[in-house]
Amino acid sequence: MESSLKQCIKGKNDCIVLEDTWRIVVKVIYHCFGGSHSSVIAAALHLGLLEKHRLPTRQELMALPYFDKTHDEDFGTIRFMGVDSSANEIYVLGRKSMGDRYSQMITGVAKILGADGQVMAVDCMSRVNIFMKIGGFFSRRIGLVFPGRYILIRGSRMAFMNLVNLIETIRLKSLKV
Amino acid sequence: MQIIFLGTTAVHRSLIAAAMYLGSLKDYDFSMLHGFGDMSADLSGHPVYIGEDSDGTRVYTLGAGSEVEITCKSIEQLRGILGYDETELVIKPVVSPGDGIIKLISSFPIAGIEKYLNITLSSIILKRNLDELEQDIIAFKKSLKRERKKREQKAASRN
Repeated sequence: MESSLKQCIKGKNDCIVLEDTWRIVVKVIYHCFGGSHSSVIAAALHLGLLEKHRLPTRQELMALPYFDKTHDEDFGTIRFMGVDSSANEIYVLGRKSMGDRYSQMITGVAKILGADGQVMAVDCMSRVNIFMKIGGFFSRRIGLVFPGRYILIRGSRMAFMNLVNLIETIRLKSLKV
Repeated sequence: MQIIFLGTTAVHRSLIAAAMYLGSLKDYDFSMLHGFGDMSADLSGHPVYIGEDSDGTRVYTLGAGSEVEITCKSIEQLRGILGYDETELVIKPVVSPGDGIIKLISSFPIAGIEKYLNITLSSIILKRNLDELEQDIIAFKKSLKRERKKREQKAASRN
């Protein structure tokens, strides 16, 4: 943290100065297999694009950027979703079968760059159910959008409150930095 | 500057590449390389620090399993998002056919004869195209030198 403060003063890191306090702008990267479903929902919840107290409709999910709209070339691409109310930047990423190892990798790389504490990588796969996996596979992998999306959306609504729980934890962690 | 040699694991081909870059690989005896085949270093997912060259460039290795290309893309984008560029972090993928088998062999428990088998079999596979890797690293070093010279000339002409 001390090195981050020094970098902040040098103007290297993104920082917010509020009166006589400061905090680092955190880059939160929600990741999952395809970067198309659970990570997008989590990012949308974090940004307030979806309401937390009720299940989203099909239209609300389909209106989200990137939701069930990605292609093979999007794997590995860190895509910007927006800025939250604390000025933290929210991203989504599809990392195929790397698992939570990806979180360690991202934070490890940030650390060697001297950006320790600036990046938070969140694995959303633990909140993904079998219906989201099957629906996502049908829709994105083999191109059967019609049955795939139906199963996917049902699965997403079933997993929704789990994802709400996840992002609430992350939002609190990002405020503590 | 930092360099990350990105391979299937952090402790096989990428480690050899890093050692070649630093000039610390003697007689191609991989068992003498510190950490060679030690998958516990790879398991964490963090870049593994190998050493520093004469210019102060810090060298790391990182294992990405079968997703080296995707990982390389992500790290380069992360670098940009954090406000850094290739003058501060360079990612060099080092992959070859056979690396998947090495990863499979390395997933056997490391104790007694299994460790010996892991290192011996991995070494046999890695030595098959070692010359290619060496040429690749030499070309990589040359390109880094060229880029550094270009930047220095640019900086000098601005002054």
